Amino acid sequence: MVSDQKTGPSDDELVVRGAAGDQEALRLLVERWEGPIFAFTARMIGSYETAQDITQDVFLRVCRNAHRYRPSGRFKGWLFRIAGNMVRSRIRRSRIVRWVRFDSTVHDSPSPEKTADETIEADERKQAVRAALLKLPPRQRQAVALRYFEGMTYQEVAEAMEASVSAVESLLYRAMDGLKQCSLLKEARE
Amino acid sequence: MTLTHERIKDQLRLYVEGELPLEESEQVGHHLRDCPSCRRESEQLRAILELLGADAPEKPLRPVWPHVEKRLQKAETGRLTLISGVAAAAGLLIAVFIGQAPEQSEWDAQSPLGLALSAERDNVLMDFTQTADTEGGTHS
Repeated sequence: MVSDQKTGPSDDELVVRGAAGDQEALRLLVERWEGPIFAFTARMIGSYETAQDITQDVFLRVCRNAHRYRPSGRFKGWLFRIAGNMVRSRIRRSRIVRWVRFDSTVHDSPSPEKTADETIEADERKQAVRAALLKLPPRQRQAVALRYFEGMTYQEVAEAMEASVSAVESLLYRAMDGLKQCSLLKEARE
Repeated sequence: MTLTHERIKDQLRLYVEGELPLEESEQVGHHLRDCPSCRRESEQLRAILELLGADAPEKPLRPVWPHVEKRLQKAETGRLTLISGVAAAAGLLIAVFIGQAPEQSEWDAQSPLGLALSAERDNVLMDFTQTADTEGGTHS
């Protein structure tokens, strides 16, 4: 993929310009990708505030290392590889996640069409599946986030994780197996 | 065109989200009837996406660029400060070095020629001393 945007400069072009000192190009690049990277890190780490910190660090690293990127139309894979490594590093350092509650008050809001009981039940299910996701080993979690939330192909996930496609399939299989242990998720499927 | 099993696996999320074109969606539907593995994955996917995807954060809590720009500028300022600091320190060292440079004779003394000259000078001084002593004795 060259760029998510149908118009405007490609990601590769922006990185090259950024590496040559063009701050405006770096700004455009950051604004183009901050949403997906924040969503990815938030799902991986389970906290919006921590995800904000990591997202900032990811883009700082991208800007500082723009000269290392070889334009090949694979900026997204390079970007998510940096993000994935930084999230896993943060998890290792802080030992944050065995159980982390999403700070859902920031983004979640009750649906007006649901009764109070339904809302509570839906919230419980969301919390349960989020907790189940966060209990997965970091690489399984990373594979789920890239594949199912970023919508990457198996090949793209493999590139972003510096793994083979079969290794990604194995990670996803085990991740799904882990999520099945979440009883509320089972109920949701029935 | 008939979709392969691998291609369908890659399309499951779009299928579950109803984003596939009709023809491809029908092909995936047919495939799911015959493939337990893809069927299981699509069911799990549907449940997970329903629970996690609905309220996915689309934007960071705060814009990222102002923070990144500030850090980049700070690093650049730090780099320039470091360069000017190193240059100043180097200049100071050179000045101190020149100011405390040994005399020419001491420089020369480190070389073979210097050593020879130094020995010759000592001989001359010794001869002069001896001559002075002798002359003094004659007068007294």
